Amino acid sequence: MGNYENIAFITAFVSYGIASFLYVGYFISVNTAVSRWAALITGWGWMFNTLALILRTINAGRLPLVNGYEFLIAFVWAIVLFYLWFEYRYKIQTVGLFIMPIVWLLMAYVAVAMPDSQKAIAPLMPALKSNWLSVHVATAILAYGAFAISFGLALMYLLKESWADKNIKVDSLLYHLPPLEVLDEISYQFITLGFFLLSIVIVSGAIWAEQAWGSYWSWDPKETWSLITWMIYGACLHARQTYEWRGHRAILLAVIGFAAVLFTFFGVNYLLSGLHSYA
Amino acid sequence: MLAGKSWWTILRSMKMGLYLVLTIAAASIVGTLVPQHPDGPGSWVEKYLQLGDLYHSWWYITLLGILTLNILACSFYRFKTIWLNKNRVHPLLESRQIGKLNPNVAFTLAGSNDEIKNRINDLLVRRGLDVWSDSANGKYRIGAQHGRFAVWGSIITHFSFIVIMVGILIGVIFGYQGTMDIPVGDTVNLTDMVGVDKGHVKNDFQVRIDGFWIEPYPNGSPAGYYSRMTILENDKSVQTATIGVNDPLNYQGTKFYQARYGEAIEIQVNGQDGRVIQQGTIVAGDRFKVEGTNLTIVPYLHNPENGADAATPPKSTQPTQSRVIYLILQGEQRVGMGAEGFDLPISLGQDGTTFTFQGTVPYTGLQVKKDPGVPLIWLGSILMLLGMGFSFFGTPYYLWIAIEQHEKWVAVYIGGRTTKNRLGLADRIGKLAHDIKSQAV
Repeated sequence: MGNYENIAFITAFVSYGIASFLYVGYFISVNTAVSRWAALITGWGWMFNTLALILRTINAGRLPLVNGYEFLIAFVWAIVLFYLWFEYRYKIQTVGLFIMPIVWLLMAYVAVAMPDSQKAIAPLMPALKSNWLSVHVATAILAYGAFAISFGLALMYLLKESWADKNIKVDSLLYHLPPLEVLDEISYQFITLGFFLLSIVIVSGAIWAEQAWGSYWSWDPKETWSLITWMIYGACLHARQTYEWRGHRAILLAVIGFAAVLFTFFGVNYLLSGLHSYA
Repeated sequence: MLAGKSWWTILRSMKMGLYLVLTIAAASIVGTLVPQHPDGPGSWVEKYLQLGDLYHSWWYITLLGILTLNILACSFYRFKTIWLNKNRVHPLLESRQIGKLNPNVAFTLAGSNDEIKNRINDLLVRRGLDVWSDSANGKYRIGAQHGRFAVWGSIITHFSFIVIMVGILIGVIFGYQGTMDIPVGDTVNLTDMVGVDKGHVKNDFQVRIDGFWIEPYPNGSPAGYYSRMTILENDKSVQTATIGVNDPLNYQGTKFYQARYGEAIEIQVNGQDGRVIQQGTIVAGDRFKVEGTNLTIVPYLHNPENGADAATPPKSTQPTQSRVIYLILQGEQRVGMGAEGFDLPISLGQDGTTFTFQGTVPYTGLQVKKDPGVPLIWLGSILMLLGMGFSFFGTPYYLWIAIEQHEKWVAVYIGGRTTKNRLGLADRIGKLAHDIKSQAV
């Protein structure tokens, strides 16, 4: 079973890699056939990503939300799910260029750099045996997935903005990027969704911590960094309503916010120590 | 930015909140990078700025306090504006004005003025909008509003922040938190709790530990650990309970959490004549004061299975090959040290006094706390999520419609305004136009 899980993971990993290259190819060639293939292969990879999660659930006998490996696979799954929905809903294929390489790098980290000890199925330590585990981690994965899409859109916004004053050939893809207003609006939608989900993550974490650690808040590095992320996105939402911060600065906060998301996961796990050391 | 503005204008400004939140975020980052040890050594800068205990430092708490005031002021101001506008009917607009709205559409239809007006009215009501209208010179003007409750979401969310802050404050003033390491069989007064790191213990009752056990996984790592405990008031047992990780006991607001476990050492002190002077059980690394002297014994367990680390719990609860490594202190001065097995007397000074490590008993480590602010924290959390749900997923928007009868056709103008998701509103207006046209005769 573990073997099949591995095959599903590798198929997803390779598919996301090919899709990333195709999205780059689309950006250069402006050929819609290329983007169609890119989306198709992304969907194909996502099916195997789903399969890897299902097999993991069967192998471990519980939801795959416990260690760093499982979290990353589920995180990538959520990003691609949101991305596919986004592409279907808004018919904007160019964002794939900013999303799929991130997805691929996250998968590459799991495939190449992650030690086997973090991938192994270990029994749950006592503190993790709680009904709050699945609520807490599943909403975290969805929140981070939504933030990832807003990050891709924010990068597109900044690229488009920096090219606004220059002469761009009419047949280049940069010319066909959606208007700044549209990018700003859709990234705002995803930040709103992510912010709401992140709030649930923090509240459910507090309820659980009150039960397991004896305090709803202990300034554990992971708690603190999720609060920092929450504050940055909260500032971003307010910035959009403040005259001088609307547009460019608000978009910059969306980029910084996603950097905080990644640090909350990687930085806190590998650089800082605390109560959350198991995930 | 501040020039020429009253303190009230500044305090109720969103921009001030924005700067405050970003400053607090930056300060919080510093706190995760500087090790947080309240009593640790440091330069005078670290001491003055309390960098070792940043989240409880005077300036961090001041920033949080100002943010609370800012949010309070913003909410009050917002509430006042909404309340004053509550019953204001938005004026109806002419086709010329509707053409300036973003988004807007205009199209023509065959049919009669009245019939199209009724059809549009039906469509709007079916979509859940509040509709009002007037007519003059063969023209109809319609106004409509959707999601009027969405505006309250933001107020509820910001109010929830105040509720949470009050909850935290109540916890700080009336609560306490600490740890108790209790050997199995011992009874301890709550007021004797060591390691109180917040507040003062105000409850006075006793806790007796009747048992401790570990349920292991097949591979030996702990799946769960549990303590059987009894609460005593005036030496009378009032409640017994089994607690485990993730499963605390709540006794009249004081909560007991299973936090850790380990081995405690039984010590006996004998006089020259062999008679027992003193007996006690003490957790490894703690100080055992010898009565009638200024001597202290600090024992550490040396378990060949997992080294001398007292912080990590032993793998088995009944170490058979253990020895005790001990220090003898006179005041703070070390006057002796050694390693010895169990049941072997060790000499303590010239007068012939000896002490003996008699054996080990498991101890359970409890986290004890009382926090009357917690219900407010949960109330605030629920309000926050509720308010966010209202404001993020409610769809507040206004529509203005003008219908004008021309000789052979009717011209319809639709425009809208919203504070969020203008693209979505453009979609909605497009669909509305489509529905109006598709029902045309």
